[in-house]
Amino acid sequence: MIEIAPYTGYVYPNETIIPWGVLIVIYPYLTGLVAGAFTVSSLYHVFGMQQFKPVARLALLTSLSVMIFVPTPLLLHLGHPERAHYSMITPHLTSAFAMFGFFAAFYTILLILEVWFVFRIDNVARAQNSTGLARIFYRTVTLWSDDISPRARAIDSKLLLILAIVGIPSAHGLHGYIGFVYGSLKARQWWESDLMPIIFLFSAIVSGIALLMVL
Amino acid sequence: MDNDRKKTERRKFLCATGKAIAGLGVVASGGSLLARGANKADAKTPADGITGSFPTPEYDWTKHRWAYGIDATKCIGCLRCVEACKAENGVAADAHHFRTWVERYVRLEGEDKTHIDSHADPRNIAASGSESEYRFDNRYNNEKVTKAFFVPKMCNHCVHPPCVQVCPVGATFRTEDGVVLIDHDYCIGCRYCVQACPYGARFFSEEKGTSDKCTWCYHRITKGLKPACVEVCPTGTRVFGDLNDSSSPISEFIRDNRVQVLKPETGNAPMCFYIGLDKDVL
Repeated sequence: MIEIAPYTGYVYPNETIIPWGVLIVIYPYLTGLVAGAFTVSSLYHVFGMQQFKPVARLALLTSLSVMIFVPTPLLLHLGHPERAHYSMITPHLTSAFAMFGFFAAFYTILLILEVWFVFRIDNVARAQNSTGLARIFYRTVTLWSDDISPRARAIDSKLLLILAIVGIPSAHGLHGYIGFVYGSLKARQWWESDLMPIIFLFSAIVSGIALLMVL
Repeated sequence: MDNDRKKTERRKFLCATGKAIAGLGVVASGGSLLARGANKADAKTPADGITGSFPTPEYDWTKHRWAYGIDATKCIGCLRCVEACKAENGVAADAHHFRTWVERYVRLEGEDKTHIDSHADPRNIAASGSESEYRFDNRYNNEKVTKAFFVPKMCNHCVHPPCVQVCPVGATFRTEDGVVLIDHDYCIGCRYCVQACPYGARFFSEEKGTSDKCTWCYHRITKGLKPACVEVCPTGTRVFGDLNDSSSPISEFIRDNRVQVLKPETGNAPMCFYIGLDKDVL
């Protein structure tokens, strides 16, 4: 055994239990998909690559729907999920984990705003062309605004551009910080690396594109 | 004109919504802070502005600087310390949760590697009959042993603890008298600290739903008693005392021996001092 795998051998008794199980694996997996899908949508929204126009909206929606589920595996992982908000009320600033709440909350709000602006004009049209409950629903979704004048559209697209530009660092911050969570653990030699955030980001972009291909 | 009216309405709506959300946020966070303040008052934690006497009126944690010594040359591997610790602190009675444990290092003739085993080793569990009893098996009975020794391990209560650094809520902390503790009423159970400890000294307590670790029996030492493991050690392997007192056992231990610490390269500055370690000790 020692010849095939020279670094196997004794482990401390407490470390025979793996503290971070599959839930901590699912969490960066999901944020990777979020960041990757968002990157694809921003290729069109920010960098104007027309070839990504057909998937830009789908990518954005994918990003939002996965993002809403991101905190779930983390909450299920915690020994005391009911205390999860402590990390936002009393964050311990030297801990990488303390930043999760802020990154995730900021980015989720940003995604909701961006999705709202992207689909606003379509929803206004739907509200005007439907009746009854559907009309009430679409009116609510558009927040009772039916302004689709060229001026309003110009404001919309300007806001969209700003949101998308702010979104790129926040999406990559959300995922890159998980790389930092692992990379900053000096007790784990297989993880400890300054390049962990970079590795995470590149695999995120690849996996996000892959998810869009599947969808 | 119609457009402008709509715009004004939208602005009003957005302003009102924004104010409402901000107001809710302030109320919510204020409420939580108040609740936390109230909890603090009950639990008498240091942030209450208690400067001297803590945690009991008779004990002043600024007057002590605790440290621990382990003489590995004296340990006979009887594991009384492990059993005493589990009984004293209510640690789960299995082979995977330890506040302190003992490792056996054996070198056999003609080999140039060291055999290491401890309580989680399946052969030791089989030898003791159950996971709630601890003993080392006789696997080296028919071997030619050239060198063998035991090394008791536990939390090193580092001066720069990496576990405290990574706690997202600050539930784990280093006290004024040099003990690293966990606030079990505040720990969220994320296990980041378990990952961060290079000594494997922390573990996750499934019963409490929080991380758990050695406290140097803080409930005992603040009353002038010794930690349970030191109390029961039959050979004087384990030494505990106050570095501020130059005649305490630990001060003499450090003065009379050439001591070393585990993994000094991590920069954690452990407060557990060893003598009689070998190059293979992890």
